[in-house]
Parts: sequence; structure tokens; C-alpha cells
Amino acid sequence: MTEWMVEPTDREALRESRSDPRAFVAIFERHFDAVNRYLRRRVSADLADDLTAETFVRAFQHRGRYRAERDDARPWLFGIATNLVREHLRREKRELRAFARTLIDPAGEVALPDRAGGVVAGALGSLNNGERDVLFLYAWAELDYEEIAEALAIPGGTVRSRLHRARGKLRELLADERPFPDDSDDVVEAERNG
Amino acid sequence: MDELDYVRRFRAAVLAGQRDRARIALLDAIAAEAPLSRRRGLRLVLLLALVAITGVAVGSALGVGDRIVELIEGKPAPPPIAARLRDEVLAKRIMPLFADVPNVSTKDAHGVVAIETRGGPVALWTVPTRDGPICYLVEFVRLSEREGRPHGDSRCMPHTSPNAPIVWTSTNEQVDGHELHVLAGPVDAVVASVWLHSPAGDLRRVAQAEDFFLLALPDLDEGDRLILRDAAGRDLRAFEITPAMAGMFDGYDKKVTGPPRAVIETTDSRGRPLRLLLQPAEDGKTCVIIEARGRSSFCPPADKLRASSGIAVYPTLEGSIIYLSGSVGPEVSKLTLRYENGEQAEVPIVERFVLYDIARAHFNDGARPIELIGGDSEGVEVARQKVGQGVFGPKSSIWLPGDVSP
Repeated sequence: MTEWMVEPTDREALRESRSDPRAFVAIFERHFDAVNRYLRRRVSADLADDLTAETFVRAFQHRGRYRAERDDARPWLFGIATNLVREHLRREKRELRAFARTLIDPAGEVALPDRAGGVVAGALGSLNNGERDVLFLYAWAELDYEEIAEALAIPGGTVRSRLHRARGKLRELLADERPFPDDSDDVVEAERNG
Repeated sequence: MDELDYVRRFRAAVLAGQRDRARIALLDAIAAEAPLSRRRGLRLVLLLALVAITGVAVGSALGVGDRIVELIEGKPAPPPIAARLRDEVLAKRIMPLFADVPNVSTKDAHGVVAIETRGGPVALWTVPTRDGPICYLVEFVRLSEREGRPHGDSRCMPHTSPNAPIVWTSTNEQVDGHELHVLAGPVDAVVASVWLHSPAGDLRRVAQAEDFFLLALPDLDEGDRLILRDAAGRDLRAFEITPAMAGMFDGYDKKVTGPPRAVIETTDSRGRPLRLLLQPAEDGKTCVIIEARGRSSFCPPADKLRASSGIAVYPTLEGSIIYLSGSVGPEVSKLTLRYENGEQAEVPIVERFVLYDIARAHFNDGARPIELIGGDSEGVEVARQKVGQGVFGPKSSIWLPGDVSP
């Protein structure tokens, strides 16, 4: 029975992959969907698929540098993926703004119903790159502050401040636009209460 | 709902895409690092092989080859695959030549390697047998997915040896309009690498894992050769692959030049005709053709199969029947088949050829055929051969057509 059939942790698989490169396949199989989905939410599907492939190739090639004590390699992988997206940030921003104007999602997905998608896209497009990275890692990759700090190689305090700023800007922009006037919890709750 | 909820819901319906492209890129990277001769027990030796048969490929470290798309080595075979391999082994246990094959545990069935072809992935699965044949399944994954059951060719083949370092079977399939020729089989430990050499001079490494090789060709070109090399990179043997050589024994097909003549006409255990025919062929050769279950065998020149002396009679499993066929030397006038239970039967010899159906009662333990005894015209024993001896077995060597080694 080979070792990767006993579901090693990411850390174990990475350690094993230093002597047996094939052990890295476990990392790929385990995290492909999450990384690919994160990237497909950030950029168009074709580009996301390319970046996903590049993420795992780079991770494999640099696996010797993985020194994290944690068993979970997600922060490391999302960090690589986010770094790769940075080379396309202008495109991401352009696409979000185009979405806001046209209400047609360049990602080819139903982002949010009707006008709401465009409003949120516009708000997201107004954030700076660092804020978007932190926000998406928090909201989409579901990393915590510490993991985001590790992924982006920035201090935890920076993570908190960027996230705080991003949320503040979004709150303000979305409040002005009210993207879900009939779908917000407040409205539903108000209707329930008669 | 706060601003974070909006973000979480934004493009929340996005699904992950197909893994194939990323997996191929990763496996290329892994393959580029894999040492060429690392073997750890039965674990995979991932030799590089990768070629752009599909046209999507990026160059690999070694150039062209079949693109490995899945490192399935060691992974347990899915139940339908394991069942298919188990059935193959059970079928072989019926055969006298593999009578000693132990039962195998389907949990030991596992993957070896999968390569990408124009017709989708082709996977190689195997199940270990102790001292028995090497059993494996070449699976056309795309067809399996469509049909909901394993689609491919399962075989049990003899073990290799330094003298017979490679055995292969060839499977042809049409997948989505693409004709695929897949060669696969066991490779002996003396072979460090297998290469495909085209008539144009291209040399590319063939996928090799866990003592198997797996190769897909979009076309069989006249002059394609398989070259076996040792760890020092020296050529050990070379075998020509020709379109006529669809399988291991198909290399001697000849164009017939006259009508067939029946030499032996009998029936099998199920009452169907079982015939041995001789038919003139080109180059002054004569073909020996066996018709069983309504199908004819290939056309090998008779002088290649007629024994110069002794007994050269071997069992063949054809569907649900087993027959003995072959020839005897001129000194053998009488042939007796002895069974485990002490029974004996006289096997007719016609023009030194033999074709004899084994009754189903003799498929069972304790009743199997074990030995052929040849006698001269005076009834004196002049030859003796265990059933199946000399052709298959862990330490036997086998003869391969198309061997172009010096």
C-alpha cells in the first residue's frame, strides 16, 4: 500500500514529495477545486485555468521552501495563486468595471441577480489591489487573518487594516446603491414583522 | 446582509473547471524531476515518456512520448476494474498451463499508469499473482465512462526473463473517430528504458511503470521499432512493430495464394467445428489455420510451427473451450494425453499436426491434462512434454516475432 493512500496531511505530502515527487499529486487532487474556483471568481475561466496550472507547477517547483508548521497548505497555495493574479490585476479591475457598466459578467457567470452583480462588481473594482487580495482571500478562500498574512507575506496588522478599509468602502458604496433592495435580510425581516 | 455577504455571494455559483490541463502541466513538472531508474519494490518507476499525440502537449524533458496524465500507480482499482481482472485470472486458472495460478485478491488490483491519447486517457491496471501469469487490463477510459463498465482488453501473459525481456499485447480501438493502437505488456528488470524509434529517425521514450510499458500510436508506421536499453543506455534488443503485427503472434501473416485444405476436422466440447487447415501462401509458404468457434486464426507459415523433433503441442483458451494444437517430430507416431486422475486419451496426429479439444470435465482440479507422451511406430516412448511446458511460465523464455536484434 502506497503512502498516499492513507491520506497524508499536506505537510506530510509535501515532505514526502521532496524525496518522491509523485507525492505532490495528493496536494493537487486535494486543493485543485478550491484554488481553481477562487481564480475563476477573480478572472475569466480560461485565464483562471492557466493560472491554476501555474499555481501547482510553481508550488511543486518551490515545495522545498515550504516551511510552514501548519498541516494545511491552502494559505501557501492561495498565496501563490494571488501572486499570479497580480500580473493580471489591471485586467481584473477593468473587467469588474466593465461588468458594473454593462451588467454582463465577463467571467460568464451569473454573479448576482440582475443589477446587483453590476453594483457589487463596481464596488469591488473601486478597491485597491491590496484590499481586494485580502478581501477575496477572506471571503472566497475562507482564510483567517493569520493565514492571509502568511499567504501574502504581510504582517497580521496589515491584513486587518486592509480588510477593515475594504469593508468600509464597500459598505459605503453598497449602501448608496442598495444592490438588493428587495432581498436584504432587513427587508425580509421587516416584511415578516408586518 | 452586510457587505461581506455581498462579496461572498458574488460569483458564488462558479464551479471548478476540468483538472486535465493543470494535471498534465503538473505531471510534466514531476516527470522532469523523476529519476530514471528508481524502483522501490512494486512501486512505480516513473520514467519519462511524454509525447504530443494529442497535440496539446508541451515538450517534456526527454522530448516526445506518450503523455502520462495520471499517476495511478498503487491506487486500488475501482471494483469493476478489479472484477474484470479477477475474471481474467479465473479464466486462466481453467487453462492447464496456468493451473497453478493462485486465487488473487481483488483488493490487490491497482493502477499502474495512464497516458493521454487522441481518444482520451488509456489506463493500465494490474493484479498480482504469485508465480502465475502477469495479468493486466488496458482500459480506454473514455469508452468506459460512456458505457458504465470497463472497456478494454484484459490479458494474462507469461513472465519476462532476460532472454525474453518484453511481452506485449496490442489493442486497437476506434474512439471518437480516432484509430488507436495501444501496445502494453510486462518488461523485464534488465530493461531500464523502452524507446520508440520511427523510420524518420525520431526516438522517444515510452511510458514505463511497475515493470510494465504502455504506448499508444496514432498510426502504425512500417519500420517503427521498440528499442530496449539497459541502465547504461546500451541497446539490449529491438523489435519491429508493423501493422501486420497487431499482436504478439501476428507477425507471420502471409497473403494466401490458394484454397485451404482441411487436415484435421473435429468438434469442440460444444459441438462446434474445430478444424486445422493448410493453405498455400506467398513465398512458397504454407499457412496453418485453426478454425475454432467460427473464427480463423492468423496465417503463419507451417514450417515455423511444425516441430523438427519431439512434441510441440500447446493449449489455447478460446472463449469457453480449450484445445491443444501444434505438431510433433517425425519420430512421433502416437500421442497420448494423460490426465491428473489417471485417465488417458489418444490424440490423433495428422501430417504431424495435432488439434485436440479438451473436454470440459477436464477443466476441474484433479482432472486436468498434465502430460503428453509421444511414442514411435513400435510404441516405444520417444518424447514427453508437460502440458504448457516450455512456452509459458515464470522462468521460460518465449520467442517473439519481429526480433531484429543482431
